Amino acid sequence: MTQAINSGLPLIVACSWALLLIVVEMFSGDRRFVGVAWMGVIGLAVTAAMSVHYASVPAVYGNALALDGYAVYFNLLACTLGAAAMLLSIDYLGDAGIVRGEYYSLMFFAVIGVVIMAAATDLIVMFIGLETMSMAVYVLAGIRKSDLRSNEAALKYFLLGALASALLLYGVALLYTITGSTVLADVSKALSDTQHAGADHLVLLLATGLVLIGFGFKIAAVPFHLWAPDVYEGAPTTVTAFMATAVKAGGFAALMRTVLVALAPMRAELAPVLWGAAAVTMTLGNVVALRQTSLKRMLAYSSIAHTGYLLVGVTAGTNEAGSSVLFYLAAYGAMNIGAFGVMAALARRGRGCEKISDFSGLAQTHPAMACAMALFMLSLTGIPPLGGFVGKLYVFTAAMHAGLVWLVVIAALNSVVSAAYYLGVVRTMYFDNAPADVLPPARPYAAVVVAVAAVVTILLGVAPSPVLGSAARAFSKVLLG
Amino acid sequence: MSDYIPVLITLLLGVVIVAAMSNLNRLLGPRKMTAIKGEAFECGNEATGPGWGRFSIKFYMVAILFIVFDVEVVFMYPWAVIYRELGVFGFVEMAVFVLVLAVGYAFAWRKGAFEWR
Amino acid sequence: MHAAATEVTASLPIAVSYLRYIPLAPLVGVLFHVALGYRLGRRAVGLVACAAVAVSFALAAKAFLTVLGSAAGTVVTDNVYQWLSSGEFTANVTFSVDALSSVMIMVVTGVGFLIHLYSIGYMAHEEDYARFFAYLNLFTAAMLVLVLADNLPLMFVGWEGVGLCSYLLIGFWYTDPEKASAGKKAFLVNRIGDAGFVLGAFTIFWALVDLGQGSLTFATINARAAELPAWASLAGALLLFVGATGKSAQIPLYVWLPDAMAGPTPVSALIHAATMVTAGVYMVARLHGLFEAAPAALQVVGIVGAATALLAATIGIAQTDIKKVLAYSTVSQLGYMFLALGVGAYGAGIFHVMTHAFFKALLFLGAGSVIHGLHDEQDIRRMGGVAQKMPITHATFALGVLAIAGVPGLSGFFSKDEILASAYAGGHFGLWICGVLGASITAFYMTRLYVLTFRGKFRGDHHKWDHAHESPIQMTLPLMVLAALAVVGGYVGVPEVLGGNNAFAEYLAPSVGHHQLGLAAGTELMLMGISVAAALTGIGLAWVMYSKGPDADLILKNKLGGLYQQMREAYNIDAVYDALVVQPLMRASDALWHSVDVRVIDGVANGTAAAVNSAGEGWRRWSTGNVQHYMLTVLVGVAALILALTLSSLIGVAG
Repeated sequence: MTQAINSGLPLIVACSWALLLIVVEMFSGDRRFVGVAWMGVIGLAVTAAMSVHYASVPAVYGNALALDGYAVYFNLLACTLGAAAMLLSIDYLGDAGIVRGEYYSLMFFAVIGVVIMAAATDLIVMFIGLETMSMAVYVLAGIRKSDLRSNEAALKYFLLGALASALLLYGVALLYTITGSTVLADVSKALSDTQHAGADHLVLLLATGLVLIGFGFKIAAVPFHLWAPDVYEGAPTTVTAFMATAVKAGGFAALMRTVLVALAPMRAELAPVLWGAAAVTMTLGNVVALRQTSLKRMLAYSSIAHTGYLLVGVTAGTNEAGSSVLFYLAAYGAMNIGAFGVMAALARRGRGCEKISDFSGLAQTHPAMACAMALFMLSLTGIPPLGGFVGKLYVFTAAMHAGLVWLVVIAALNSVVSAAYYLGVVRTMYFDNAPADVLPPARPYAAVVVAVAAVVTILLGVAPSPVLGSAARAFSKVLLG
Repeated sequence: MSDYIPVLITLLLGVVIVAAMSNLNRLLGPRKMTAIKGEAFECGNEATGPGWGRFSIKFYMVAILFIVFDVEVVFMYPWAVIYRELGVFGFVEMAVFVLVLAVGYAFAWRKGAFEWR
Repeated sequence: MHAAATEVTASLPIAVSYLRYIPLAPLVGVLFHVALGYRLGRRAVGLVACAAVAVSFALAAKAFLTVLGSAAGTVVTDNVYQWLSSGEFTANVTFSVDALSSVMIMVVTGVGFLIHLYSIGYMAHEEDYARFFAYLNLFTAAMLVLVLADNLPLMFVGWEGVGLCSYLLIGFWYTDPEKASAGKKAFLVNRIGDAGFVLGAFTIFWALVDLGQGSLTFATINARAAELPAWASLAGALLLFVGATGKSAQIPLYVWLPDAMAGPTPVSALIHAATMVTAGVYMVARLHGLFEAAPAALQVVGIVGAATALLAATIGIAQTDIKKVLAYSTVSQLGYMFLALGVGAYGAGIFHVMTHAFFKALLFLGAGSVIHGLHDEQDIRRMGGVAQKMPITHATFALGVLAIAGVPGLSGFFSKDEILASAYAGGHFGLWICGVLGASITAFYMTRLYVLTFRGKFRGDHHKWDHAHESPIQMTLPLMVLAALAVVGGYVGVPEVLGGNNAFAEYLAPSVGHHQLGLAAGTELMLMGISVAAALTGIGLAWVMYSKGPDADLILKNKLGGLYQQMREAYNIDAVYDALVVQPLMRASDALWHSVDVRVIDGVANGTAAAVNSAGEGWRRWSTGNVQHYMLTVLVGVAALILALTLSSLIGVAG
């Protein structure tokens, strides 16, 4: 009982905190959001600290939830990314004409959703986490009510997201009919204990496919990526930053637990499909990104490509690969928060900072911002000794070890292609001339976030051992047997 | 089987009441047909028009809020049935549930969701 | 006889902790330039930049002297910290200096220092002085990491670092879009090589794990290469060589180097002649054990080297830009180095790396001096007679030309001769022929370059002539030092047949093994005679032809016909790449983008009228089919996925 309460405590506190945020926002008037933002950040810090403090391995609530190492790792990741996105938002929102107080509580709820997804050891609970996250993000994507793009992005995201959720739920239901359980470990046991043949086997395949699609949508894997470019472009930059990092982490947290634990006995069937999805996703993402002129859209395709790299790790499915995916998500989070952070720091109403050409000559006008942006781009390309390089190195090494030689070859060639468009941004910033109307100075909060992200990106490259170690520990108890 | 007799009675009552309501006015009221009265609904939206016509968002607002609290009540029935068995725990649980909804209600109110603007 | 290099002496490590400061010193310089450079002004920036490299040089010299003074096989190592560690995969930040890397750090810091010094004068009028020196110092640091690394992952850090700096420095004059794109090309071509590098490293790593020793230190790889399965050593060596062709501008990835001449001239000298481009050579020599375990790969190295040496030389004949000529000659000389590696003469290859660094840096800096003096004139058809105005530049440049042409007594002669003799002795007759032919052509076009630039009458704009002047002392001093080195640098490796003791090869032997020529003294002298004759023929012919001015090109044009045009246009390799790689990729990008990813938002965002009718617009678009299109795609995806799952399960059952 005590353990049940303890394991649940971080979530209980987080939910209460989010509710409290709503109440505070309600009575804080329309303009004073800084306090609310800080409250949100503090709440996330408390949640993260509590999850570390109450971490324990066994699952609770009838095997529905486990605050194990894996959950704690994602908890820390999601809280950090959420806090960063909130800090980025402080100055951005007012200027972008977003005076919706519920912004921060929605973001808080989205983080809670991610946390639930990572901690869930039951498919239904995982689904609840997914929906908690998704609902909040649908609204966030469309929170700029007067902006047509934002509206349309949100609508599109919602419609497709609802479809994906329905498919996922249907898949879970089918899985239940076959195995008689929604608890991951029990599903796995049921699947490996009995051989399913004939109609049952087909139902099982259908269920597996539907579950994969549900998560594939959240992580924007091809062909369920269509929403990503539009939504990334349409949503407010700070929300995009959050989506590209925390939401993707949540999707992978749930996907890995499901595929590598519950569906582990289906490995033989799943491996080729994941292989293909990884290859197609990274290739399409990288190739299409080549021709983008909007930085947000380009980063959307880049994020699709990175989903592909991460899927390489999921395909490999070993302990080593799992922990490398965990590390990659951290590195990826740092560099993407940074990249979007630079955009959010410089954007002003009526003066978008979303086209690549808007960054012309940034090195002359904003040397520090340009330097940080270049760093993030190089890290995304995978240049040592930055975080992105180490992440790629580990994912690819693990995949190679698991025998996925050709997938690694494809990934390596892809990272050659990706250099072209990441470098395009660096070139625009360093070699093009600044336009006459110079971008305004960077916003202070956002600048701090960008600076921290830059330092983290470097540290994850130069001294990755602590994070690698915790990623390895976090993943070590996930796989069964 | 006898357990289900009340259900059957409720069902019958429902049918009878609906039938009575919809036919009583036909019996009691005066009948002067006009074009407007002949429409399917006398209030709200136009009965005819393009298939892709739009409704005001206000209707959805009301509908959504209605559903939210409707569902709340649905949750309360089973809870009430075993209230004594649950004891203090059950009371606290429902109090939390209602509290959460209350915050939502207050939020909707504060944000002007109930104002017909 | 193909001398085996297996008798590498077991290493005797000496642990120290100063090696880390060799790359760190220039890095501190970078931080200084970035943080304070603009505030403290030019003088401070130049001083700090040079001082940083000087510190590196002093420490490098200390390490060098330690290795030189200790027993053969001594390795000075500095283990800084464990960088990567997870499961079986570990890599340390460990720097080590053995005979091989000691030569490289001396060249990098020594020549690097001179080029930094030269840049103070050359870049004096540059606005972004601090940024330039920041890049230059950063490059030096990265190059030193590359050379000092004791394992492949750490080497890759330097490897990518130098590529990045090269990119930044090529595009340094950012007002010119052509230059920026040249930089991008260099970077992308290098990335292709890098993919090979990484895949090669992976291959070797996992093959070693199978042997029970997962490690990527050079020592381990070389020691255990012979035990690797044949496919692993072959694939690993070839993939790593792909990396080398990228960085060292060999066929098929050499195309970036001539374009890279868009950068400032000191950059061309430092990066694209003396140091970075030799990284590939160094890497292959560093991993000689691996390459020897895969003789087929070694053969590929030799053939690619010889082919590049010859091909680039022919292109060099027809170029008119002073820096382009030097660029193609660099590609060609790098080919010689790979030829040497390919025949197992690692020592000779590294010897040529060193001498080439001296005379090519000299030639580039000399060219820079001419360009500087003639106010940015680069076309040799509009030069001539510059010797009168720039005596020091002229004298030093002439020495450089003689050195690269292989005139006896100068450094290039000794190193090139050793390579050719090794090729012949190893029975690689074809490679030897290519080498001799290339040497003759080299002598020809270098003489052409010299004659057209310094001899005869000035053919350009007389204003430029009137203002032409000798460069300041910061620029001429490095020229003089380098000229001295280009002359005497070869005497560390005088072959025995000429009464020397080949001290250089002797010194390198603990790192790369001995390479015995096994030729009779008479044969060796005869070979020497042939290559000297080839060189002198080239020089003589060019002298006679071009003393009459650049119109002599016409003679060649008439003789060679269409081939000459091809040579001038560098065989249009760029167009081939463009048609085969770049355009298809771009077309695929467009096609995929427009067919798979319908762009819904675009039109809305741009139309202000649409914004007025906002709510309706969303609905209209949703009802006119875009979201349906999306959903349809999703459903098709669903079907495809389930089909794939079914298929894979069927195959699984069948199998």
